[in-house]
Amino acid sequence: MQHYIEILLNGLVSGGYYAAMAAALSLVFGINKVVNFAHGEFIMVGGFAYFTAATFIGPFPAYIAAFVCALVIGYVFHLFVFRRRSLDASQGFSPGEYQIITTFALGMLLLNGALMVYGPDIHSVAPAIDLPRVRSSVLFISGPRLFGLIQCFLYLALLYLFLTRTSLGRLLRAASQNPAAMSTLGVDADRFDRNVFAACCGLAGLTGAFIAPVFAVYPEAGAAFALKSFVVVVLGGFGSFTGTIVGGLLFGVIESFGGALISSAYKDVFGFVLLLVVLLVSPNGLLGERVRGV
Amino acid sequence: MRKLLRFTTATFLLACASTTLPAAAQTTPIKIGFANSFSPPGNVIGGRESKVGGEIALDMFKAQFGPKVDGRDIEIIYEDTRGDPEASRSAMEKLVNRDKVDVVVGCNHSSEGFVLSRIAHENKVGFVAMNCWADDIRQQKFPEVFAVSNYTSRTSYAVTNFVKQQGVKNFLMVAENTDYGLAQIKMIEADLKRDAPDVKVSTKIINKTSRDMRDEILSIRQNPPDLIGVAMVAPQGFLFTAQLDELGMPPSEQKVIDIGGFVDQAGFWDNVKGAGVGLYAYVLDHKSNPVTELGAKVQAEYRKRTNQDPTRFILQGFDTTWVALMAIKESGGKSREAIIQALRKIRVVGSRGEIFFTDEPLFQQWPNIPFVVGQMEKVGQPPSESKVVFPPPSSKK
Repeated sequence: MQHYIEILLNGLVSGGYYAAMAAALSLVFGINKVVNFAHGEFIMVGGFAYFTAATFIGPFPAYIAAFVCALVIGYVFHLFVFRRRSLDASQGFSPGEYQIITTFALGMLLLNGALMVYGPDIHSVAPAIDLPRVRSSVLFISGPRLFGLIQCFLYLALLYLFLTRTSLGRLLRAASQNPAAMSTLGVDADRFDRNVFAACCGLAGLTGAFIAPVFAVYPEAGAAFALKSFVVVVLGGFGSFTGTIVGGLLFGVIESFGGALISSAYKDVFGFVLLLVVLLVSPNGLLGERVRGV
Repeated sequence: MRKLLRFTTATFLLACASTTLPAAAQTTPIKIGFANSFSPPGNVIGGRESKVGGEIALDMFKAQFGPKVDGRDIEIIYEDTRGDPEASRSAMEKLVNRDKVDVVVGCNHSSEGFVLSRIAHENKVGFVAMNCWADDIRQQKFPEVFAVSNYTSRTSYAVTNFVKQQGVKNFLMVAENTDYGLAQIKMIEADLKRDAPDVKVSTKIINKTSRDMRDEILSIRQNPPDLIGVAMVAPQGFLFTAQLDELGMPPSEQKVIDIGGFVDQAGFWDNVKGAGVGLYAYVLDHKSNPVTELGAKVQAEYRKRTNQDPTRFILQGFDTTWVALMAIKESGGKSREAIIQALRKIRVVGSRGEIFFTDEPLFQQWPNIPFVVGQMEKVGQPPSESKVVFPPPSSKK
């Protein structure tokens, strides 16, 4: 029994990380209806920004640097490539296709940019607070992983409170539900989209700073993070923030049990099987809302 | 008169062309294609370091033998294989068909090696493999393919003997699900079955993209083996070692051997810290296998150029390019076939010893790849200075 509890806790630890990684991806889809294929690279950029800034200004201000760095890249990208005029002018492509292609290209650009600036080496990052490792009968967890996990859960909790308890959060949710009404009320939709996109990129960067001490920082790290994030977001329901948290935790637990009890070779498969089952039973994911046409 | 003028002009132009064409052909440089992984998901560290090794080889060759061979300049054309078979195919086809290279060197992954060797064979161009370990590449017996690279049966030989030496009864191999990882554990399993049938061998395959392997380690911890063999590359090998420590199985307490050579990759100690102490490793550039005089010069040159300590990738990149250059020199670079013939007969001092190709134990393989099994004794210790646990064999397998 103790072994199973250990696997469960291990899965929840992994799931907490997955949920945090996926949160910004879920938000940007929920509000902007954009599938950001550069999401993993924004996490990687945040990790590198944290790694660089921490050596000069210390770890806590480095979180801000990670957020700002990814935010600025997202803002500039949206300003020049992604605004509505560009989308409207993307003849031959639907806006959705245009978004996929351009964000994918941005991801490649960020990856190769990181390779040019930092080289291919794998960089180790020290956590902001050096917690002692926990060794109980059912949980072994290193200090950096524990601290990263605390940060991830705090981040998710604060984001949840922001979305549900603040007027700006409510505005964002309203905009996600009815963007046309928002334009009718006089809100500059292009600017709104840009700010939301940039903020979500910034949040992805911040997540990169949280997880950097656990998973190390290297240019191609983004691909693995993006894959997990997409599975979690689809599993939880695209655009559903609560669904992302539930999806992340469930994904972590399923992976952990599958890997430990069946075969670690098919670890990724367990998550995808779960995803297929959930999509068969509930095509909008676990907590996704059904999209209604007018 | 006009007709005569036209005839004279045409004759003159023809005469000029007939005299300049061979000259133009003479001035066409001899080209070496260098196909390696310079970007993800391939082993970028190895790719980029080997490129510097190749550059040093060309510079040293020109300094020693002059800038031209048979009146022709020599140049290297670099192509990125990205550690991906499809990208390798594009890179190799460009080198062979568009750039019309005379010989190709490179390769950092066995999955690339299969593609590169097949295209080299189809186009009858010599290919010197740098770092693709899978024996199966040699077992295709393509006459155009030569290997200066380590090979899986060499590693298997080392690990099998290490297992016997340590009196291991229960051996677990954990491997990434790649051509390399799967081939490596299959070979060690077969060798142990033959040479040490009492050893109980089990395997665990891990997805190459997996970054959190704690669930696998939890299941290992339920029934700890005497020795864990890890056939992975960085960063996965780094993370696996650190996570073993995190879950209470540090290499200082649980015997673990790195089979994939990740201890030799940049950033090992930064990432694993104390967790790496006690780790055994299959080391390809140990100080007990001293480099040649030429190798020392290469290392010094690398330090001068980059201000970093050289790794085995520098020497591998140097040796493959050096062998190709010497084959070009021997053959005069007259044709692809002439270079292949020269490679067959070559016997040249490289950075790690005298390089030549035999058909035993593997087809057109440099058999004497130097290695030891070493143990990491303290944080920051380079693998080349690790404590030798299993000595290199005095004769080839």
